[in-house]
Amino acid sequence: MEDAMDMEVEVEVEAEEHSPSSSNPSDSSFRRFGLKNSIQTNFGNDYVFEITPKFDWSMMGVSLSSNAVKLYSPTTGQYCGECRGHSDTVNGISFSGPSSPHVLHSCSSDGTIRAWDTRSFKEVSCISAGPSQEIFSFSFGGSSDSLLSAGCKSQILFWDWRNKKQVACLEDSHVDDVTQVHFVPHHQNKLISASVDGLICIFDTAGDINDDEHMESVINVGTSIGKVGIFGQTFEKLWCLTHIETLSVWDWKEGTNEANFEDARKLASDSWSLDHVDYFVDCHSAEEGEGLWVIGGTNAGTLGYFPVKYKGGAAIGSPEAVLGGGHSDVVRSVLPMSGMAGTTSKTRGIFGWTGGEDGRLCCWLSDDSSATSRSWMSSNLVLKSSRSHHKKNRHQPY
Amino acid sequence: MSKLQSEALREAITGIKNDCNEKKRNFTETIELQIGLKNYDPQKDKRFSGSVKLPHIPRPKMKVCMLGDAQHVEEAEKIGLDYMDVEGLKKLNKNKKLVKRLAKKYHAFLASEAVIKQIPRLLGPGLNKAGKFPTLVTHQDSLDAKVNEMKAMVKFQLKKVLCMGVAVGNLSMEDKQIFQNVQLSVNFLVSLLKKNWQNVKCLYLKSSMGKPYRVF
Repeated sequence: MEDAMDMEVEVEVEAEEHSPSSSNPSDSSFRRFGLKNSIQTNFGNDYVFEITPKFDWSMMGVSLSSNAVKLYSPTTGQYCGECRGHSDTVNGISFSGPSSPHVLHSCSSDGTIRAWDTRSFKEVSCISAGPSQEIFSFSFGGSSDSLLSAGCKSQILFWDWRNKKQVACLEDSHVDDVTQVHFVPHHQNKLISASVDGLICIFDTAGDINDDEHMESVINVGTSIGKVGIFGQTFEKLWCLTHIETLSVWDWKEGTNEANFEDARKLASDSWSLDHVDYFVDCHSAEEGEGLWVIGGTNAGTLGYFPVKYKGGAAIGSPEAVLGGGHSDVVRSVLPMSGMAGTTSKTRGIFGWTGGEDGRLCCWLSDDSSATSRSWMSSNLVLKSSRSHHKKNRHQPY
Repeated sequence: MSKLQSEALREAITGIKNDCNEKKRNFTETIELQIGLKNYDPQKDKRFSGSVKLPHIPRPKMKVCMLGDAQHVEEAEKIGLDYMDVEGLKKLNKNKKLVKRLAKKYHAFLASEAVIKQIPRLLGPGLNKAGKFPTLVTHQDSLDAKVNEMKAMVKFQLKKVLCMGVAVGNLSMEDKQIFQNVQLSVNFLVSLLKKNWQNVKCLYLKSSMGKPYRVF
């Protein structure tokens, strides 16, 4: 007990040391982003669950609690169409890559993964995990890029998506809902799963897949896991957000814990002078390097971007950006557009999109009054400043 | 702000204890906190599941086993904690029956960094399947503290219905300890709900064999 207490104290001290130093250079310490526009996705009480971009950023998919997926343009916000067919909650959506540019996939508690043509909004294929099964997450990958993996009720299923044949079922590794499956970028054979049972498992999916031989390592987080993400220079790191709003950072290759924020909401709230964090929406990592940010939200709909320090004394710094005044309820998804590959010519000062339980989609502009430069918003800044110069030039003659 | 009335909670605890004294059972009854929710939709609201670390251990009889390296094995021996080393694990030979038997023998496992990595290879998915994959313990942690921390953790999970129970104590605990465990778990659970107390329909406290007492 004493040791655990000591550790917590240490974390807090670190946070205190960290916040003044980080707030000094860019005083008032954070950027407040302006709201460009907001779209009401429905006129009922439906939530926005998730926003996902197409690889070329020409479209974004938005899953709603009405079991439908709506498509919009991320640059203009224009509504394109709707994919309807799921008979239960849509738990995950994702566009295919350039090889099949007009396909969006979605998985649902109705036990299916469906593919949609994003030009006609029609269902083009459907894979079923069987009756009374639910699919919470899916991922494409494998050695020949032919595998489709799905996180289900205490099972992980694999199909060869080309012929829709089921090739494997892992049923011994998890004892509860598998909320996440991700093939690891640049490690095509590796699959990472996370579950409500509190475990993260790493599998090698080469050859015939089974629990006995292919489970390589296990990380015990100890509490129900909501979301995990792979990041770092060589994709060896893993962040993990739980349903009790804790955050931890792991090295999945080594199986080591890098940082553990059991009190993440308090740590973030303590470094946020204007508001307090009720929940976490997601984590974002820098495109290159080891940077990590956790996005905290308030029940009233304000968001803060908090830098996470997980090396040499874990700490959550004061927010580097605040997105306020857009949502009036819990925010469920944040899609950043700046700093993402393929967006530079299209973002035009757009920071990104958010969606929440108020059924609203909000588009955020980055504010250029502050000079903070961070990797996840750097390209944005360049664009913004050139635009503001234009304005000044035009105004001078008058 | 907590809306849990201390008075109501104290009365419930006294009531439960009195009932139990009237009719003794042959085991130590567990005290369960039952929560009914409202304004919550399991289909679209965020999952309500996880674990709470209680101030007082609700399951003192929980049996823990250390799967340790040399140093941890030595420490375990000192504090009278059951242990197994890598050699012992190797002897199980990935035999499903033997792994199952090991899993059945204990409520939870701890493992050293060097050992936890080898567990999938040495034991296969047996401990995962039993829901007892070890918790990592490093040489910086105090083993005793880690064991107590594990014993103080209780799980909760809301399924497709709007009520659930959490084991927060037992009848051999002092009133004050039960009180503190209930208070902490209620406040923690409420902090996870988006409308906080407006999501709570009712709270009951009951012992395994006793009648429920409404505390909210």
